[in-house]
Amino acid sequence: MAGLIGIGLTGILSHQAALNTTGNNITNANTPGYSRQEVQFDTQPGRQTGAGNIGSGVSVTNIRRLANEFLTQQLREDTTLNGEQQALNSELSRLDNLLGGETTGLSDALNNFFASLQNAAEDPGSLPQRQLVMSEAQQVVNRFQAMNQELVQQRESVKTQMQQGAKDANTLLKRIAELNLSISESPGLAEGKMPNNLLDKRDEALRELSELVGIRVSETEGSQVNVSLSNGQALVVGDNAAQLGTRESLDDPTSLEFTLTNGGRTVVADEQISGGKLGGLRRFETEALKPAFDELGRVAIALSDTMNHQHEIGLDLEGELGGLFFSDINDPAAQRGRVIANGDNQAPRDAELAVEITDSKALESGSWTLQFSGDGRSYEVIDSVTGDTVNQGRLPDPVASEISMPGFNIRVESGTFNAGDKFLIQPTRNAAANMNLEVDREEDLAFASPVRAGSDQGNSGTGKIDQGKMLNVRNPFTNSLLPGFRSEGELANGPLEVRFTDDGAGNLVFSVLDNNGDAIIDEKPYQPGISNKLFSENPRDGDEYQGFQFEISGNPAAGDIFSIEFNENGVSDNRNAEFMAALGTANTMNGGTQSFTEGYAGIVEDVGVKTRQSQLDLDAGRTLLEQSTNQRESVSGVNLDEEAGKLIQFQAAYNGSAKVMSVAQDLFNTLLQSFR
Amino acid sequence: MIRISSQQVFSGGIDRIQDLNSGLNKTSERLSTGKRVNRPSDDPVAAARILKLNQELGRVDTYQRNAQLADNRLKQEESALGSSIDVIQRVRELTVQAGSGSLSANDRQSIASEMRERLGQLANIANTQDASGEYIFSGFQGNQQAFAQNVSGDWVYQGDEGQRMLEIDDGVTVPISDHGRDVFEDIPSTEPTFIAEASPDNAPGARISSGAVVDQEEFNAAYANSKTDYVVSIDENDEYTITERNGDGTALESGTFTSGEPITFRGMQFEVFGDAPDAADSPLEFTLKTTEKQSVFASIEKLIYGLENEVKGPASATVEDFAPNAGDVLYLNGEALGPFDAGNGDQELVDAVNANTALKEQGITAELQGGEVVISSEGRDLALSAEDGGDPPTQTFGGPLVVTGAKSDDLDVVGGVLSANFKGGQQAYEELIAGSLNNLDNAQDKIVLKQTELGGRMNAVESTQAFLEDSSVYSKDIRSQLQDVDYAEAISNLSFQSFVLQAAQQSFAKVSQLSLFDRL
Repeated sequence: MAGLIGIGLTGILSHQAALNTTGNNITNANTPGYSRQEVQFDTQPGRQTGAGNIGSGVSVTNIRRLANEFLTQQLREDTTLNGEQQALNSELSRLDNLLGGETTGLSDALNNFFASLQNAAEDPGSLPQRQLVMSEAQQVVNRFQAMNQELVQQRESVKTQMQQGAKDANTLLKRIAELNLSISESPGLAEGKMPNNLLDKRDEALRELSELVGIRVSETEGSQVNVSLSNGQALVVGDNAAQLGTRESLDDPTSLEFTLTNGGRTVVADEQISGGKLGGLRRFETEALKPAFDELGRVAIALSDTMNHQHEIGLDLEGELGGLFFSDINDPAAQRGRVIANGDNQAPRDAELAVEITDSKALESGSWTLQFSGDGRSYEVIDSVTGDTVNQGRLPDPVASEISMPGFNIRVESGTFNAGDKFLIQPTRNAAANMNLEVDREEDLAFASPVRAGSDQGNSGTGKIDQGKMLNVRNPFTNSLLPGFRSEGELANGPLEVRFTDDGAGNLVFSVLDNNGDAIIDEKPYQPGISNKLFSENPRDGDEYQGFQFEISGNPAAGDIFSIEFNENGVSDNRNAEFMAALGTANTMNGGTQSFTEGYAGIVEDVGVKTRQSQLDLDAGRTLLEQSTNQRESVSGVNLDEEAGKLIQFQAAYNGSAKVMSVAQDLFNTLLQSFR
Repeated sequence: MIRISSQQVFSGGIDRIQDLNSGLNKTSERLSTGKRVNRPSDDPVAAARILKLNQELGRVDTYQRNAQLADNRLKQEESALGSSIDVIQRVRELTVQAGSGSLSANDRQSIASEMRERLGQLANIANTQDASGEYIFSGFQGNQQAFAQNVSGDWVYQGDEGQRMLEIDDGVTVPISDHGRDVFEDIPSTEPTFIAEASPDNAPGARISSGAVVDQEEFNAAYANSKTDYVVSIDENDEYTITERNGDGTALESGTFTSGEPITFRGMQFEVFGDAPDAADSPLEFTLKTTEKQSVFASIEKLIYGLENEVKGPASATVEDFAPNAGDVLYLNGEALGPFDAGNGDQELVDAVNANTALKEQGITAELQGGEVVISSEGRDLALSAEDGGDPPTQTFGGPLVVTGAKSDDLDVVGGVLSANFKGGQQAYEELIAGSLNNLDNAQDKIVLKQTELGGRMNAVESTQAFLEDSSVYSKDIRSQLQDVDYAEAISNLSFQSFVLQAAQQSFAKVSQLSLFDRL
């Protein structure tokens, strides 16, 4: 009887535990990271009798936590992927909206600017039209600067998120380390009695960490886990947590790099951060944000350069050469701003370097690293994206020299270079921010050309001279003004006179004389029937290159004279305005295959494609996450109906056990009464 | 059988509803903006093409506006040219009227004064300004009046040879202006003529008169020989020298310079005004540009000058120093005079002229005036020559003979020139009228030609406009295909999505209510 009571009692106690566990399951149905638990029953060892073995009730051997390490691992990986895609997608979408928006983008401003030039060309003397050109040009500048500013803001926001992410990660790392300690110290561990809720907490912390960055988790003795970055760099070892941090990058002070501090030693862990939110932010910065900066700068440089050149060879309403339209792309400050010395360079750190844009047409966007090695004179230029060496050589002694790259030159001016010194070369990075409108009065817009041609009234032939084309007012090699344009308001060596004469053998020849009567071009043969170019278009040809070109066609007669003079008072001349307007559709970028709008559309398309791709990746990542979540839930999740069923089941068993005790009591009573 | 946790029932349902909501939101955004592509990532390739098409449409828009403006300008120019033709026509009528024989000097004066009016009117037309006040015929120098009167009162061109072009489509430019030089100045003239110009480097005050060809035959003969221009330079010694402009500097003629005194050279006559330069300064230079072109203004000015000044007086020649050899014969208007004897003098020449009946019928008489023979003709020219006019000519006069006339160099037989013409007023006048009519016709032809050219340009503008219109429609069409939402599809999507959402909501509500606890 006492045995029966004992048996009933084990049932009562065991099922009480089971009911408690079920109750716990039910109440934790919505706790993140909670794994359902179940009670494991076992029979009590029986009593050996002659008749055989008589059972002695039930006992609870363990409260089991239903979890699958493999599924948890899978969930972490998918969380990492999803976290990365989410960060990437949300940042890309923001960039995408900025670039593609009708009001926020660049294309409308560009189109309006060139349209205003086209319209002004119709009436070049009209001040209101000129005013419109000025304000549209200002609008273009504003758009460039505003977009650049938006990009800067986004860069700052990414940096803030990185800093915040690093802090969050540190909290989690610390918590994991503490949980490791608690778990290893939990009693009963040796008997396989796991501290279920600590394990749940640790798994949840690991999951949260994997949202931030890709990690590897490996179990060690005492049910502790070691956590490392995906390449093996340790984050948590036992109860020891490393410290993740951020600091200004030595390569590029505008961006951040991640550091890892462990036991007082700090190392750069930038390359190792991949996956998760932090990896996504890094990817966004290198794959989308920096290229967008560079591309925007490239469009700004191409626009400034071509407009400046065309405007410079024009003549304004007051008879002065046009000068700059937008900021000079090769302003000394801008040139220096394109080189950033690495923070790790060795003393004396006195290197003077500058980058000069030589050909905006050939210029590519991107950044390069100039790296010195050996005795400090050997250098390599390395493409920052591909890591390929694109140029290498040795600096002369003294160091002043130029390293020629497509579209730009790296000018080494002076200083001491040590092996290992690095310089970041960013030809286009700041161009959009540095852009400004240099013309500040409507009258200063150069819509006319500085020279015009006339034919002498005494001409007897039928030769006709065209109105010419300006090529340059400066010698492109020396950058000094050509002889004709050295003084304001006149053609210094003009008016030039084109004279046709007979060379004595019956051939028609022409000479071009300057204002002193000296021949610039002497007795060049004239070919009737075709258009004859008067001057050379090659700046190396000395006097024959005057910076402009005129053509004579038809049949001039010996004795005919044409004049080329300064376009004084040429207020109705719209030649240069037409040329400037034509730049709107001219292929001035990418080696002559892209217009400005196309160049900009390239950025838009690139970011659009990346955004779309990240959208698809995000959808895929989310589905994967959902699946692995479902798989984990199907093992570890709490189903209330199931728990309700169990509740009834255990309640019945509890009732049954109570009944067993009651029967035992009855039996006992019956026995007592029979002895009365 | 897979276990489903209760959390899954709820979160799954909510996730699904979220997805449906965001899809519905997207469709509704497309419907409300009317665009399928609202951000580049919606369709990156289409987005880049849309940017390009927007640019294209913007450009077409600009070009359309430019074409309209070009058309306006061409119309304004055409209307100016039309009015100028009317004026020239009126001048032509006046010229024909002036050619009638029965006009008195007063009549001619009044015709001349109307012509002066018309000349001013024509100048006004040539100085037409556009809406912003720029002179449309001044080339690049729109602030500069195209034609202005110089010191001698002649209308001369002030502008340059610039022509404004406007782009009305990619690579299609149309000239929207013409310079006055082309329209009003470069007009073929009946006879070659010359233009006198002062060098811009001259000291201020020095000027040259526009001059006139006083002996067309001599000028033509020199012009036919060489079309060279000439340079007149005046040095500090009060000496003038005439050289070829592009020549080696050989002096063709020189003489003493007096301000305002006519200088006659190869049939041209002009006056230079001003002081001879100081020794330190470079010589004054003037260019005589020989040409076969004459501006319409010069044609009319010349005509007015003729009407006002050319008196229908007799032509006359003065023979000095008549000393024939024995047997010498002179020819006057083809009539042989002589042969003279050696020692014959002026009286014999007078008698020979007056005795000739053929000459008498032409009204040609001779008389002695102050020891010189003056031969006069009432209506016709006088052609006095010392050769018979045969081929080859035979010189039939060997003695010295010096003849002077109003419009000729001295005829000095011994010196070599063998004949000279002395224009009678009437004939010169008739020639002036005939020549002017010709010049006016040339001017009209030139302007009509320009009008035809303008018509061609306007046609080009019009067809470009039509083309731009088409391409705008076409581009809009493509953009619409790329960018615009298909409403039928979007609306049916919307109703389908909202139907699914409703279903999901209902089923969620149902499923979430199911709980075994309710049954306990």
